[in-house]
Amino acid sequence: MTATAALRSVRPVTKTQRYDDDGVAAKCVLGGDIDAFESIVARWQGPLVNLAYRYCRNRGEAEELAQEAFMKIFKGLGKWRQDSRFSTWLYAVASNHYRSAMRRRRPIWADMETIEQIIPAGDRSQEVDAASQSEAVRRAVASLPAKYRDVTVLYYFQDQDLAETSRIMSLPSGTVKARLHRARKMLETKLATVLTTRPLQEAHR
Amino acid sequence: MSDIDRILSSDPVIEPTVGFASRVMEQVRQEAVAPPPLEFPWRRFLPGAITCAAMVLIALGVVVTSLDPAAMSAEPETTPVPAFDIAVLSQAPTIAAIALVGSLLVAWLAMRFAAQPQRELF
Repeated sequence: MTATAALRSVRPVTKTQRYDDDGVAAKCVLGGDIDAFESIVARWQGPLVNLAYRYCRNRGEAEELAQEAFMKIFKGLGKWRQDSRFSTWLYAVASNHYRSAMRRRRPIWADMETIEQIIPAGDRSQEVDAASQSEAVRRAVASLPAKYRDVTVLYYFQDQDLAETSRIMSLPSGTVKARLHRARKMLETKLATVLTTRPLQEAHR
Repeated sequence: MSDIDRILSSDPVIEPTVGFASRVMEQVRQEAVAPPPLEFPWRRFLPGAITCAAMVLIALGVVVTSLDPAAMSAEPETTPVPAFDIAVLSQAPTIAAIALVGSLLVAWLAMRFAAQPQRELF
């Protein structure tokens, strides 16, 4: 063993390094080391806040929901079975919480009149900005029945990973696929007037 | 990729506010030091519940046995007083004794549990 390697081997592992792995951090938390949970929060705060934002479309509410989700994760850490990925379990807990919170807090319903309010009829012949169009699509997603909305939100949040979406939702991938298909059809119907009359490249500038 | 796919895939990413993680950890630490929620006092509840259930069963049994079909179908001329009343009246001392014993038992259990220290109950 070289001197450097020997030094490295005796160098104390820092807290951050020790908790680099979620599994290790979870074990430490379960063993009573509460500080280990900080590394889980640091690693997952961005994804959980963003996922919450996709459900509620409000930054403050998203953080509130994410904080509640972290508490559920902390309390339920012992229920995580090591046979599934930590991220899958974490997203499952969080998305379950977001879904039930959204059901409790307020019904999101954006019908076509609302979408028309976002992009007034008079603007249809003109080029509308991408933000309005994106807003219309997101409102239309929010207006979907819960089972289609939830699967759509998670699917796009997971970068269109069907397998991961079905694992998080504990649904067969066939069911997820069918719901996505149905959701797309509903969105196309809802947004027919909005999308066909606007140059879509505007939405991706 | 459809237009809807493209729009939904390009959702803006938001950053958690500064201090979000520390707020979460503060709540986590509070949760960790908070005493566990009180358990339902089954040891106190069960004896009373069992006693009540037993008394109800006994009372039902007494009523059912007192409703003798033969006595109920007897001719009114031959039995001027209804058979039910006679049967109940004849068992009144038994019912009273059972009720008294049951009441005493419940009172005794209540006093016993009230006198016990908390640690012995859970």
